Amino acid sequence: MAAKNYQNTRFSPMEQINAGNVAQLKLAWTFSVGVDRGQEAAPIVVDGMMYVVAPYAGPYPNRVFALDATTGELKWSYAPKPNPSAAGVACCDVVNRGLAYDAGKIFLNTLDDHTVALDAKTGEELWVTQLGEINRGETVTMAPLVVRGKVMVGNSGGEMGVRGWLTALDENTGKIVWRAYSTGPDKDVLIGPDFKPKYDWMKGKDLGVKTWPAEQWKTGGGTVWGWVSYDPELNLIFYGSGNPGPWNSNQRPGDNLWTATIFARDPDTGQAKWAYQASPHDLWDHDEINESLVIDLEIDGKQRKILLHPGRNGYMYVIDRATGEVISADPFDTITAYKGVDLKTGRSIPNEELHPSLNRNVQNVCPAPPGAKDWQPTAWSPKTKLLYVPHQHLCANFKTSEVSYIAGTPYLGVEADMYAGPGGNRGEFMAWDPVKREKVWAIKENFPVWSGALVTGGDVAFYGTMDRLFKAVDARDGKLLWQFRAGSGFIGQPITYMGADGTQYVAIMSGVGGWPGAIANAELDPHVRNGALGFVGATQDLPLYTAGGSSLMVFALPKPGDGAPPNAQPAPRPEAPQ
Amino acid sequence: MMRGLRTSSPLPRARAILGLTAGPLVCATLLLPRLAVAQQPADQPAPSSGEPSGKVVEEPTPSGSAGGGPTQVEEDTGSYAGGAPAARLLQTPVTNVFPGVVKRKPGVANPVAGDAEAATRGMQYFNAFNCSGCHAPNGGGGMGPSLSNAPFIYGSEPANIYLSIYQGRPGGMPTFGGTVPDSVIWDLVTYIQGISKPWPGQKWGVTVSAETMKVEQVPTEFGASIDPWSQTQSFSHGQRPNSAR
Repeated sequence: MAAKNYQNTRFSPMEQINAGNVAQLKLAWTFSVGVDRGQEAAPIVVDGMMYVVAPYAGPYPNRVFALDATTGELKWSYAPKPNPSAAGVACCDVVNRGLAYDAGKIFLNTLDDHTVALDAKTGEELWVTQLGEINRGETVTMAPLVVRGKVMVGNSGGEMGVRGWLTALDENTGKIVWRAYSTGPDKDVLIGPDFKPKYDWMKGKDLGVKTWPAEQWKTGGGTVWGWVSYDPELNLIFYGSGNPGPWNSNQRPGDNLWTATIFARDPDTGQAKWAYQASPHDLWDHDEINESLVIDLEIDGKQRKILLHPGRNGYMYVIDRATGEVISADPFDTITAYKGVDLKTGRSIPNEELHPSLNRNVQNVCPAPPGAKDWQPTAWSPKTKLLYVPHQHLCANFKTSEVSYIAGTPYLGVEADMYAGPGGNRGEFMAWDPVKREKVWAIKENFPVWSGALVTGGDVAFYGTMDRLFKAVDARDGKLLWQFRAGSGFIGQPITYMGADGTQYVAIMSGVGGWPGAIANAELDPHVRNGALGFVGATQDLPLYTAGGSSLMVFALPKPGDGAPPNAQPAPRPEAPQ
Repeated sequence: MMRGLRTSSPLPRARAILGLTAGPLVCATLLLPRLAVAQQPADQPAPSSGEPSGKVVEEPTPSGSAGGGPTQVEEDTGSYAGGAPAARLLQTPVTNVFPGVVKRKPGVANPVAGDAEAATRGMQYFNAFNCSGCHAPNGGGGMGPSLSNAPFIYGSEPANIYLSIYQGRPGGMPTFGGTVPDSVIWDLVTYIQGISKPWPGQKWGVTVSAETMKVEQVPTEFGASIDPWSQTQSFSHGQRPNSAR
């Protein structure tokens, strides 16, 4: 699975590559997926094979490649039937966040709303199920997750007035077992007798209807395009829903449940166990689709079963995963949009001074619409007990206007214009201690850090930058240990694995894009700040640093006689970052 | 549930779209009278909704032949009649390759070309039909390609832009033909032509360097314009826009 394990920790205990020798890391082999658009996918490695999926563009959109994970030899590829028009309803580049594997099968989500099962050995298509409709603005970009024989898939399209859902498919037949909507009546949201939210304002019948103006839950967003985690002991899956539609909050008075909400559900039935809405009546496109890591922590002398959720709204949530109680919620980036999270009621408190009344140009809204952290997944090391957080550091101007719903077109009603937050840097890679509730170290980056993170038993944390550097830093203190200048910027997910030759490899896709990077890989104008839903304002100079790319890059330490000069000295340790 | 866009005549179709509007209908109330106005027949016949017009307009026979050699390309600009009989729109090329080396230009003119009122209406439609959601305010691009810089993928002639809106395009441009009145499309064409300019300092090609990234448009949260390239400020390099400082 893309997130390495059900807990979504992205931690590998391997230590062949470690803080002491990572400076010698060399490129072992590369592979092109043939499409120069945003490469957000995690390669996955199973039984000596590596599987990777391309973005949705070119003659073979969302093509899947199976490679020998040690040698890079191509074993097979699979191209789903293309529907290029799907690109026209994809909000933020034509990305795919990865594949899943279970029981001999590879599972693929296509941008045009199909889930496909392939024989992992041969690439043979086993079943195809259509889950959504691009004419309603629905797409699928998330990586599936298989839990107890069910493939979990959610839709994208929060910018198109889509009604969000998470769907479970039988992994053997592709038949839909259950579908849980994020808005609408309880029977559609799969809220029943088991549902016990911690906070009173989320209790009551059909709140997914009652917290909206009439009928608007039908076009109310709450899409599910991020990460699903799973606790086998509690037998609960955890995931978050996206922003409410339209972006213009003046058109949807009410809490807009169950958008921007973290759900805990029974994976067998889909029935909700608890929910927590991070941003009631979201004002700023603050989806809560970010990953919720399943970890146990000792807090105030007690062992607690925790969900660690780095929120898009800029708060680091520590949540009791059995009950949905918020134990703490601390800002990890500049926040002006909220005054804090009330731990008694669980509600985030909007800053009324910045209220986006109709046609008001509200300035210095922090975090900007993509939040303090978007989809880019964090990594947790059980060794250091730190969370490694790639994230952006952006504020925005934000002006609402009336918008009409036209199926299959954007449903926004906002002119946004983003820019660097205080200090002028637009991104950061940092380590967070969730018990002490503080940032331990941080590396400022010029651009948003839109790649995922990986951390290893060798105490190395990996991430990539949009200006083409793949970096290894010391997981304990953030010192830069190694970096590699690649062909294109990084927005992918680094992984590590053991090859058949007993060598530890590190792999990541290079190819800039995604919401912040479309300016460098598609037909966008850097002189018009409001482009790409306002992200162009923040990354308008990216074309000075990179163009699109399509390379899978695989790194390893040099072996004796491997071309490295016999007397090669370890590379000098680069300067520590500030 | 959501209704599709499948009624028969243009105005009800447009109303059907607007009827789907959720929330306060400022846009729609603004738009509806204009749509009614837009329904008035133009001086020249507007293109029909795809039905054969029954009237075939003779395309001037291309003069010359392939014998002139590869560097000699003749142009046939046709006659810009104003309005656009469907048969002439059908003859609009969307490529620059012409067998026989005789370049054809569409013989279709924008009946409201250069009309500032048409451009202003077009700007309102650009928002009301959610064009701005994909192509961004001022046409900066996003889900759809930028419209603020020539050239366009499917051609920059008025007839090309008209047809891209009318027919949609395979990469994701929706088909608006038969959904909005033709005069609305011409207003949109007028607006789009007005916001489309070469890159600042553009020569035959475009140089991207720290030296050439000198200006940006004043962002739209500080005011909309049918001529956004007339309002520029120094390039902000991802920092807070100068207009706000």
